[in-house]
Amino acid sequence: MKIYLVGGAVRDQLLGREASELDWVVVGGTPAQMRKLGFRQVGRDFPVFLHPDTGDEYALARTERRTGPGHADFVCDADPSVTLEEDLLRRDLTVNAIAWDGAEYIDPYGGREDIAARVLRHVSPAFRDDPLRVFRVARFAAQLPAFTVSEETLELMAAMVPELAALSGERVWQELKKAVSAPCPERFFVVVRSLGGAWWFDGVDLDATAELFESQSFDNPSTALAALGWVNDPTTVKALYAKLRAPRLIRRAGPLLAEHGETIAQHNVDAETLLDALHAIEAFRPGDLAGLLLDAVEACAQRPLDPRRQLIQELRELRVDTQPGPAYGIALRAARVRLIAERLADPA
Amino acid sequence: MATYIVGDIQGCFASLQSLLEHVDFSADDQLWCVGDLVNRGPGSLATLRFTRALGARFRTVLGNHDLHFLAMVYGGHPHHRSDTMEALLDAPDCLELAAWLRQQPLLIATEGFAVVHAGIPHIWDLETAATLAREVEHVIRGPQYPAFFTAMYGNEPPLWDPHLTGMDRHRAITNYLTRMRLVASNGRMDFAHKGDLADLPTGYRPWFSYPSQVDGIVYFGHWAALDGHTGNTRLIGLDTGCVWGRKLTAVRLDDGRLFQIAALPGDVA
Repeated sequence: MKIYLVGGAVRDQLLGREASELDWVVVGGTPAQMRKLGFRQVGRDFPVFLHPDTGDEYALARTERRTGPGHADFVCDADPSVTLEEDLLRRDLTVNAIAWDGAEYIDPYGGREDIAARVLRHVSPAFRDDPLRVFRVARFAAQLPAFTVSEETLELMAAMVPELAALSGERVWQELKKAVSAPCPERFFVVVRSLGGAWWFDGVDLDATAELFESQSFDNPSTALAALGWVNDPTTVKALYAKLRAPRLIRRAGPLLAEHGETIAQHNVDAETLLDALHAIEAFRPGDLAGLLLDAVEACAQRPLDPRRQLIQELRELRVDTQPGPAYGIALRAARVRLIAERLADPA
Repeated sequence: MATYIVGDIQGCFASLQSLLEHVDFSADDQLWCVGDLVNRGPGSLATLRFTRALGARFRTVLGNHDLHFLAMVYGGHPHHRSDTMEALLDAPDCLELAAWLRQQPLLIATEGFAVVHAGIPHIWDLETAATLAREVEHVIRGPQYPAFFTAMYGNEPPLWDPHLTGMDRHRAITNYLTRMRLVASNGRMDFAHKGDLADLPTGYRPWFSYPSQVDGIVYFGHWAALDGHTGNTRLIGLDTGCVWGRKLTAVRLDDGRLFQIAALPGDVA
């Protein structure tokens, strides 16, 4: 049994970057051997194990053969006789198909040459087997700004675009989430659009989205994902998040940003309009929605919103001297409008 | 949301707490360390438990004393008379702490600055240093870690050669990043000298006195005798000998301001 570091960690090692996760491949091993060594088996479709101390993934070397159009339509062979070269052959890009045994690199498909030339190139025609790779390569383009996608790989990706229809929203979501946290998120949208894959995003303006990510930076992926609402209309983002099966918070935040983002960012705004927008984003309720939206507005409008946050805090603490009941609500609203008008007139 | 990089803590847990109080360390601040969290001081166990519990708010690079702790746990090396890690080694969570520590990097290299325990020799640019650091980090985190910790100790080979392979290569990289003080102009390390700048062996100079190939700021520790002085505003030494009764120092990454507190008497070795 021999163990190699593989995939993105080897690529990042050669680039000197810290890898977020280390993936290892086990050649000549069996599940029983791995369990005996204390590894915990997690893969259902193929044998993957977690290291008891580090939590790193150790997968038995395997080959995959496509049997149908779906994500799960693969026959997988993880027999101990599967070689390292066979395992590397099923991978997507040459830069991700290098193995390292702690001393030597095993690089049958020219990955180190492509790293030196800063090229993303598919390993073999089997690249076509999984349409998600179109989005994966677009995501790598976002994560590795110095790299360009090779002409041949772009051609292959373009030919795969009709097959994107078969992809589940969850899988695309995972790629999108990584892309918007990358150094150059705009490259994801530019690549997808240039291949003619914009239709997958059902009317979302990928040009405007790319432009937004080119000019603004976001410190966390949730804010960045909600920010799609800044450059798209509420119905379109709502439909897209549903298709992507996005988490509830972002599904709510995107359309609200589309609808109320500008009102919240504006200097010249009417007090009642601003109060309604603050109600809509749940600024007076517990929860993370308003905070996320304020962060997103701040990043998209490139304007510090500290005065708005302070105003919201004041509005939250505001009490009126009226008996509980309908009259209280009316009095509170009037007091809030007065306070907003005061602060808007004289931003202290 | 400030980030503080603290010098060698070496088990001076009470002094660390005092420093954090001094900087008004808050729940959204980050703490980074130049390595040597443990040994010599009395609070190695508390220091590891505390820093690990900070989760993503804490980052460190490994120092020679951190590696010494791991070599005792995984490589069967003995606890020396001058070591103060009995309580750590006997703790019920010792293995958990060791597993966490061995996943920490040897070098943090990011836009504008780097963090490393001993330094980056002038013979390497930052990309070379980062690539080599990743090699050893991946060995330490991967399946060969017991062999690494068994054979980690030694001064050979003292001179970097890109053709080095196997354990010699990993040991050389580890020594440059975690033990280096004096080097010759070709990069050869000296390990006999104990750090007194008034008495340098012929042909050797402090690593930071050569023209560096690293563009940004380098934050490092390891060399208490320097008291932070390198004569170069881009190479910032943060080990100010807390465990020897002097000071514990941190720099605020955001504005470069230094913060210092006097070592608490109970921490002094």
